[in-house]
Amino acid sequence: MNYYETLYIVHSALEAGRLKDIVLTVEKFLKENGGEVVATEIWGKKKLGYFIDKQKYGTYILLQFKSDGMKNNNFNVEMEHNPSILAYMTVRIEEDGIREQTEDLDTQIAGKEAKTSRSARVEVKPAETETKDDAPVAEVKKTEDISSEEVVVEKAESPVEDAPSEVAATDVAPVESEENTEDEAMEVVVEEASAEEVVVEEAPAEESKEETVVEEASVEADVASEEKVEE
Amino acid sequence: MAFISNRKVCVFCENNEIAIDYKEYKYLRKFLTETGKIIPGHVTGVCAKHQRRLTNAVKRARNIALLPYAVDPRNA
Repeated sequence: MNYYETLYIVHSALEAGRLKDIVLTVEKFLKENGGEVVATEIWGKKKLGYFIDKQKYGTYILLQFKSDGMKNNNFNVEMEHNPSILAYMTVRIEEDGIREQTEDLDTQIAGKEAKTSRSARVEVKPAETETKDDAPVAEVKKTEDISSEEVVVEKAESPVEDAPSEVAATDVAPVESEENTEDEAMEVVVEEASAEEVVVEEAPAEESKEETVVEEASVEADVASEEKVEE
Repeated sequence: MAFISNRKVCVFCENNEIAIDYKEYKYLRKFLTETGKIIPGHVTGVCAKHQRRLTNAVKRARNIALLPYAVDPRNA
């Protein structure tokens, strides 16, 4: 019995469920052809060295197995005929090249998905802290914002909606992470916006609640206006 | 005057722990040019034995699209 490994590339558009199906079908092919799975490792989505079937990205999966090698050809034919496998390569390896499989398939697939979504969340976290840091700055400029008028007017009509608006403000916050450093741009925006000071003052007497809202709204507005300037 | 050799020592002979493996494609990039060609051993200092293994590893990595066959220098 020898050890072999097959590295194959699956279409990157496939979702977690389909991906698992494919991995399981490949393992089934292998068992039908007299192989014994030793380890499966999902590398995740990677950029290909060159286009395969017009695809730029693919999900790499490493399958290590034990076999006598007599039916490897049949296994390769099965791989060849599977339309969702872009490319594959089977190589003989030594016993010390075998990797220990620490996680099962589900956790591996979930881990790869979490990584991609975590990168988005990581962007949010610093942005939220930054909004807190920037709050005093935004407070100073709160009367001088362009698009805060819309938000503030909404608040004046229905102060109950404070909570969702706060959520909205935090949702917008990630955009700021890149733009907070651009103080110069903010100053320019503030100068441009000075004509519309009146709107915030129109908001009725619920100042105690609304001050916080206005702060956030102004932060949001800053972001919106900065985006406009950048465009 | 003592004779000082300029001869480079093979990285893989110096350090036995470095495995030449097609799966370590990021490390293999060290031995490729920007356009994706394999740099000859006399330039990188890799000995003949390890250069043979290196070449095989690079070719395997190219086969499974971990490394490019060629990169257009205008895009590199």
